[in-house]
Amino acid sequence: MSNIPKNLKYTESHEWIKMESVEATVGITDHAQHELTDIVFVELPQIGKKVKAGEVAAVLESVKVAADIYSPVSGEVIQINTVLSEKPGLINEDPYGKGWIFKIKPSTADGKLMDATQYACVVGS
Amino acid sequence: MKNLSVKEKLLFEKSVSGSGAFAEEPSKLNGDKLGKRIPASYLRKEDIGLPEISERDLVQHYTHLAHRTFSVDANFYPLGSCTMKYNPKINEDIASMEGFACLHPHQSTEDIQGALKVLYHLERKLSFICGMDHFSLQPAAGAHGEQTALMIAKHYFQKRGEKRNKIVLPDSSHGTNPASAALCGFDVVTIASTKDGEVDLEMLAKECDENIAVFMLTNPNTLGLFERQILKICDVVHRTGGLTYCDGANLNALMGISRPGDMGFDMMHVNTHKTLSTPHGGGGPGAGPVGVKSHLAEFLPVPRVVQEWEKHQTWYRWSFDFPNSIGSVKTFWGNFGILLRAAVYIDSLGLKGLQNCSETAILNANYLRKKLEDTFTIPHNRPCMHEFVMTPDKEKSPGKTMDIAKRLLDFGIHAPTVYFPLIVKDAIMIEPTETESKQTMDEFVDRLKDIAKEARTNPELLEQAPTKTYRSRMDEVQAARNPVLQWIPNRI
Amino acid sequence: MRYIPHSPETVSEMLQTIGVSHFEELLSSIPTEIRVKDRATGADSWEEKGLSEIDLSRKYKLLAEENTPTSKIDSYLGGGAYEHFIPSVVKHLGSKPEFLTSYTQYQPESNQGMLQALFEYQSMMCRLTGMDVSNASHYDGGTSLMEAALMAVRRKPGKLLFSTYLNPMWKRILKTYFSETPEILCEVTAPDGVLTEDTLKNVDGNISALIVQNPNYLGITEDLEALAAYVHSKDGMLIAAVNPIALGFLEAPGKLGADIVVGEGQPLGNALSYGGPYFGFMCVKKDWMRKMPGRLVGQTVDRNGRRGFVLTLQTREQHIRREKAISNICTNKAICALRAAIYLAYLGESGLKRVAEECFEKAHELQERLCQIEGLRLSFDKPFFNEFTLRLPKEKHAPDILTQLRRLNILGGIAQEADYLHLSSDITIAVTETKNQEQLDRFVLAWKQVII
Repeated sequence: MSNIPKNLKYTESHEWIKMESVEATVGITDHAQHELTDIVFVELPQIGKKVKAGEVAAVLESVKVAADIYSPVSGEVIQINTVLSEKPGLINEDPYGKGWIFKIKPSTADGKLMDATQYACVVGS
Repeated sequence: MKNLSVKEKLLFEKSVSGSGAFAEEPSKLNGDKLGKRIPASYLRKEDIGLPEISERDLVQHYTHLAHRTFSVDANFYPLGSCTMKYNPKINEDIASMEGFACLHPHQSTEDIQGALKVLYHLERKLSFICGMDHFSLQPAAGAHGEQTALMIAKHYFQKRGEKRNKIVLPDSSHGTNPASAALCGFDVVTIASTKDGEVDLEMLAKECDENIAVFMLTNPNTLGLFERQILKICDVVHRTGGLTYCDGANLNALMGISRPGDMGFDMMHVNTHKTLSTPHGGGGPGAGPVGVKSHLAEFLPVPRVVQEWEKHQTWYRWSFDFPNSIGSVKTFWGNFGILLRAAVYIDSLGLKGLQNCSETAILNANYLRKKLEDTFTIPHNRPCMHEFVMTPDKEKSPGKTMDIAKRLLDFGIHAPTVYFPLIVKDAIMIEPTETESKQTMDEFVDRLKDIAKEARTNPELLEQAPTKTYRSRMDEVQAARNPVLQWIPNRI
Repeated sequence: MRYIPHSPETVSEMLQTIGVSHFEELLSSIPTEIRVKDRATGADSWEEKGLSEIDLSRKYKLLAEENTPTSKIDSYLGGGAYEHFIPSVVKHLGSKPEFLTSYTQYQPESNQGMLQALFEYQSMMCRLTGMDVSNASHYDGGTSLMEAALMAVRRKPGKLLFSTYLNPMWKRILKTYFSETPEILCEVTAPDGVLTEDTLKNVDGNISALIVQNPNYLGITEDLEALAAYVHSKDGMLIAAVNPIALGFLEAPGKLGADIVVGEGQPLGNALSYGGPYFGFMCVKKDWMRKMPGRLVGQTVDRNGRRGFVLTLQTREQHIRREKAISNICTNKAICALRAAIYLAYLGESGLKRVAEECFEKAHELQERLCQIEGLRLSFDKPFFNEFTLRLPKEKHAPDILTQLRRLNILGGIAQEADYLHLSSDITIAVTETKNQEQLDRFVLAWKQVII
């Protein structure tokens, strides 16, 4: 039974996004971290990188899998969680908190986002 | 190093300065002339840091390492798609003959007629076995061959003034296929296989447009099934001007039975370290000769061995006289020592023998399939070629694929290929090859049935496995998070 | 039947178990049109049945005798492959069937031996080259150079500079792999035989990397440190392609500023074998670890806390990343790397230095004696390791000289005219520790004879 906080929005590709006034924080869901198993490396985006909704922004690696992380919205990357370079396992331990991956300044209100209930249907929990 | 026995230590940890064979030898340098000959700044200032060990200890060290390595010589290795057949010893003896092993690659034609003859005739024989018109023996491995073939395709279309950028392949393909395609700058389109595990002809037809360059396929496919619609598959690609490529990894199922060239493939590669018995070597060397039909021959890598009639005899030499060649993909001429072993193997069997190999490989695979179908799930349970895929059965063999694989190691049997192809969840791919006896295979079946029983009654035995090997369940997470890729003194 | 263990009775039993009466039924999925029917067509000189061991041995012994190996003739050939003495232990240990007939170590528990051997190989190569990470081998020197060039271009698109005296076969490989972007390959002339800042500064535009073969194809040593400083000032990488034996004597390229070190590993314990199998080595600084191709063996612990080894960082590789893989390499040259490790371990710290010194000294003594012969001189008066290029008097034809030397049972060297039109009178000679005083004396005498 995976954890799906109600205050976040979600994508079909298992990213979560926390929308605040001028910036949004992005990470992967509990379901995703469980599927990936222990994360060994995070390829973080460059600060200043402009991404469109649905474009690859980061890559997560476990021992057997490399998974692309897609930006839920279009915008500019303004902050990255550099702690993940030393402790990639934070994503497994605390995917919605300390395991955040990057912050983005959204440019357009695009991106197909779901609420917690809709996402719960996607993962069938 | 606390708690590590001599047997477990690395060379560096056993190093004793002054114990090596050369330790007491004086410097060979003429110190007076040194400064005139080479600037001091070019020379090493510090020690290299190599270990020093006596010859006797060196032999003991590597002998222990050998004991801790599974091998075809000692163990049954039913790795699907790898064709771990017996590696004949006569091939090794012939490859180490001075007349072959001591040839310098820059020696001129008169000195190497024997070597050139071996290569020339190997090329002719491979062409015949595979139904191709010409082979290049340069590529060092299957993936290298794939990349070479895709470069040939690029040049072929460029010469025709056609801009084609798409490679199509099925979702069951070996990882080297899309990797090679991407490295050559192609866009890769993957098409899902049908529920029968074969190429979806409709989906393929949709992708066959004026942009398709090559369709890459393994046949028999990575489920061990012969693509029944192969003629239509090649035809639909050809109709829009694309080329077809056969990943020859599974050639062991086809010799003397059906030739990729006759199936409609324009290009292919062969893995000598699979079908042609050259040893795997724990990761090579192998060789990946590339075969083509005549319309692509002009693009093959140079140089190529040509045969001429001169001074009343047949003469062989290297020729660069192929202006449309893609160039060279390797230094010198290819993995000669490996190609020589493949040539010896082909001669030792002859055409009838090679056919017998493929037939027996198919017989053995089907035998195992039948014997295991009651204990495991076989998603495509129909006559297979030289290999087949099974998965754990929820009731009869409820273990995880990984745990079953690890438990087999406890019985001295190398695990089959696991989690490949990707289109079958928890896949276990089994390829016995033709060199394995019924006794070996029966024992394999018995062990798997024992493991299935353990999975039902005593699953911890699987989860804890392997317990009889030198080490058990390596921490791969730690190895990837904090990679230690060379010896660091006092670490661990 | 050869290598197949079934008797006809066993085959019948097995067919029964499978549930078919004839083997043919198992082939029903193959369309009849593409079944092989007539085996004899096109099979000109084949044996249908295959040769017995006696006949095989006889056939290949005759073929081997049609060759003239370096064991029967004094060879001074270099040019990318070198005749070094291979100690008996290397041959015996390197051909142990447990290593030879094992598979890639996807199941680490059953392969700790080979994994440890490859980890030791990686460790030795790092020390030899002065770098942080070594992979477990590539196909050969030329293809590992090509992969290094790809890494540089991925980091920063731009030109790949190299001397005209880069191994011509490697130049050809670069040309083949970069055929879509030939403009980035920038061959730089070296009027004095070596690369200098002067020869490089005429190249404009972005520089991705400078490739320096050291020693170069003519045997001349290049100033790696100065060249590294230059290319770094242009934000380019230095790729050093080196002779590993020379590193027993020459400074580690990693300490001189190289970003990637590659080369042909054959001189380390691998037979000449008419050009292959050889192996390429690649060593990088630790920042490049996740971006380099090839297998990497890493140290870890098992569930009981005991040290062991695994293939690691596999997410760079084709079997996981597929079209996003850094390289498509799968089968590499593990046994060749193993032999190199055994060779280095056998020689040890002092042994590799001695071999390198001996090659250096013998080559220099020989060169000095040859240059005392009227008409012979060094093509370029520059430092060299164990290979040097002599210029013949203008009226002499290099290939003819070599033919005459051949008649005296000597492989005198490589005539450069095939690859360098302006070096039509030049011959490159390589000397290794395998030559004793008698052989060197005979060589000088032979040259005296043919040059008059």
